Amino acid sequence: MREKKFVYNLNNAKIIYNAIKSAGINFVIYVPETWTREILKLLLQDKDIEAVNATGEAEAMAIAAGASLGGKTPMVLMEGSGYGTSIYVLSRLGLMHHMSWLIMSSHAGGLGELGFYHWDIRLTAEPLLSTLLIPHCTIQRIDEAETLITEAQLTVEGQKVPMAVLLPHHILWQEAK
Amino acid sequence: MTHFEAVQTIAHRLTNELVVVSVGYTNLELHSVKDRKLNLYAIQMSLATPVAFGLAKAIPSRKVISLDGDGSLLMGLGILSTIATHPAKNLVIVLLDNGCYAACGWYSTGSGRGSDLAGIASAAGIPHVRTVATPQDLASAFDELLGKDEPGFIRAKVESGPQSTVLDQLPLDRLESTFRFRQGLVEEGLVGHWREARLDHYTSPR
Repeated sequence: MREKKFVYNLNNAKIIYNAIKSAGINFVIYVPETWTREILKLLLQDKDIEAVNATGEAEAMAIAAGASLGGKTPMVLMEGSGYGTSIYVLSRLGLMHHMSWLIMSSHAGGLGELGFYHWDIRLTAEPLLSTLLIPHCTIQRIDEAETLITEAQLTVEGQKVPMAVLLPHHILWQEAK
Repeated sequence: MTHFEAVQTIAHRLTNELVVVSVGYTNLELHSVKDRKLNLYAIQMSLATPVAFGLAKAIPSRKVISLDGDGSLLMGLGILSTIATHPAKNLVIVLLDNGCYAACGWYSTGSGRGSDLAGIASAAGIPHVRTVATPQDLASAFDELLGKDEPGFIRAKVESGPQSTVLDQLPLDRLESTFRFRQGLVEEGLVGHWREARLDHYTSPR
């Protein structure tokens, strides 16, 4: 059983931030989220990236859709629970209108999740994305981050659909020393 | 002021603005008066103003108009706070407020029961908010707010009840509308062409 304390993995946050930059993201729309806080802090410090704090995931995705249509390279940063609140915008703007944007979310409820209260995210996040035929991938090893995030953005642009990159517990957290 | 008169008033004043339209009869009306590539039609309820805001952020050199409805805006009021706190200086929201869900059978929205959406926009922090009830006042407010360097919000109070004018269905589906709008942005020099894979992306040693 996991009984130790966990803290944010700052090194991995930096690697993921660098990968976001490499993918060309220049506009981030974010909503309240605990696990990706250190990534967000780096993004907010970057003067080349415009950031908007949306009031909810669906609103964030609609803003990203408009920004993408207008030539920005946007990314929505959110918790995995946000897929459940965004089916409408994903299906309408993403699938019907073929507007496209990158989504990055924590994946509470994924591999190694001890919090029972995250069971809904396990049950909804990946199944919803699969049901909607929205491409998605989970970063299981940090050395895959740059490749997966860069390729995900190319998929967004080439296939003209939203794509999601999921970040599980072992990527965002590490055991406290 | 009828709904159609309000749309006609806005349409006749459009020059090169980008227009994002919510669902419903507004689309048929705008299409009948002034169809253009720079109209993005039929964006679903609650989504038109957020899409317009994202577009305005991406293209700050061009004015962006959200033609929204009261029922639609009420589904996502949070966007007013987002716009107010991350201002897009080139965004004007024109709220066609008939106080009812026109496409669903004319029953009242919260606005029809007394909620003041202009008051909510103002309280959210939108700097320029106007309420108008005649085509003349709408034209005046539209011209005034287009000239501002901050976000604007016009609550255009329009009559409830079925429109007297019967218009043809929109001849574009959602996908055609989106791609046509994108092509319009390309032709205006506002965005580049979509990135596409080309044969010369794949090379092999001779």
